[in-house]
Amino acid sequence: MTHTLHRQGTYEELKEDFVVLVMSAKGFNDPGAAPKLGEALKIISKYGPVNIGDMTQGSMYRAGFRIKPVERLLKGGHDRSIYHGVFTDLEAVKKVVDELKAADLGMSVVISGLYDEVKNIIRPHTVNLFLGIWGKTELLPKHEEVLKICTMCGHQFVSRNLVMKLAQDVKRGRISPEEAAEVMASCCSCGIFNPVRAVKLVKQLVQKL
Amino acid sequence: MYINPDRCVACTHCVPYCPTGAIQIVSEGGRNYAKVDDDRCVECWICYRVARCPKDAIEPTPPEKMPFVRRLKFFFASATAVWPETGMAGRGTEEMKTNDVTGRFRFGEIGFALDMGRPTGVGVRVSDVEKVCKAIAPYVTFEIENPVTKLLIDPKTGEVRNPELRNVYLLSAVVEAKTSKELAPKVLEIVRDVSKEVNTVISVGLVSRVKPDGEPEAYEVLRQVGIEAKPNMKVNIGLGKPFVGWE
Ligand code: SF4
Ligand code: SF4
Repeated sequence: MTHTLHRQGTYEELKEDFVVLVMSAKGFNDPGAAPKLGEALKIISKYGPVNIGDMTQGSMYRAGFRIKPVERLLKGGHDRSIYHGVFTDLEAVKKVVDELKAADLGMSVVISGLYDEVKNIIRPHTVNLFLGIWGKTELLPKHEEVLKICTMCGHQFVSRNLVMKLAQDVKRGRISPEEAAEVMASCCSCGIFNPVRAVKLVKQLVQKL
Repeated sequence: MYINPDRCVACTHCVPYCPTGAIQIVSEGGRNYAKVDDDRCVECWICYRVARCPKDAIEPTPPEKMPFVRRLKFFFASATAVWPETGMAGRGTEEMKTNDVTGRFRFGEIGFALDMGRPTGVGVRVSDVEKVCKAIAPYVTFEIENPVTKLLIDPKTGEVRNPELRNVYLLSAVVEAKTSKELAPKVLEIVRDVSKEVNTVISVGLVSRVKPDGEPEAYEVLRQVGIEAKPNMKVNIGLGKPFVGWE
């Protein structure tokens, strides 16, 4: 699962896009992990994430999860839940990490984002580097904004055609960029899509149409 | 996925939601309706789950009742379905995400996460997955808990287990393997070469431990082959327990 790895953007853009993931290790520490994972989700939720979710249950943008998403995610949580929170600034990530460290839950925590920034707040243990997109890159969308938006859902559930359609709707004044970003976020089932960044990218894309 | 032509009113609402462009409005017998291209459809269920047809015309088959090929597509497209074989939710394994506990990747080892068909719904045929796996097989150990290794290829040779699956089109397939730091540059060069022969895109990930000075060990490999990593990556911060240690 490399779903948070392929986010595209300039260094400045990625300064507003960090994902924190918490999970148990199957066969090592998963029995009885649910309350610890739940505790981690509560900590993540305290520091203003712009999206949260559980890979096995869905995100806060899922229909039915919009009201009291934390409570609902906790209610459906289990030993193999994989919780995510998306943050637009490193300061918040640092606070989450400091509190997770102090809580000493024993669950694995992974931060996806700019390495030079992340390593300044905590010692890294293992990394998954991203070497870019190889192969037939001519098959990728022609507008870089579409690529940047779509890669915020690593499972490819945010369709490039939908992004173009919603951008056209924004251009015609039918919906706002915020509404467009919310529809996109509802396609991402893990809760790793960054709707705040998407609003900016939609506005840029609209200029090109 | 099946769209019931008797219910569909061709409103086009669901069409753009499909990540692979498998839904098209067709004209037959004097009326228009949405039709799914079975080959192009990867059974991701976005049309059903998110687009939500106002006429309830989108009718998915539960995975347990799907023919094998469609079930294969479904599992390779789902983020949440639990693989019966691995008990994992998602398309790959825990890879480095729990490495602070599992110790799956140690110093001196480099992991490969070759995400074929990703991003933006490009998708991948099994034959292209086989091409990559065959090319790197002599130099790597494939991750046995990964669905590509479990269901598609022979981990010794990289060849597809069932030749009838070669033409199956999937949303994505993550090839997971590891090798020694010494062999890793060769494997990267092979992947670079074979990526020119496949009819898809490959999002390339490299897993490694981080040295005490903060430098990922894989940087040594990248310097040898003249490839640079992107500035963003996934970072396991070592909070899991029982902890395998920093060494
Ligand atoms: S949303 Fe429903 S009615 Fe509209 S085109 Fe799709 S299947 Fe047909
Ligand atoms: S299941 Fe997925 S690939 Fe198939 S038609 Fe629906 S959205 Fe498209």
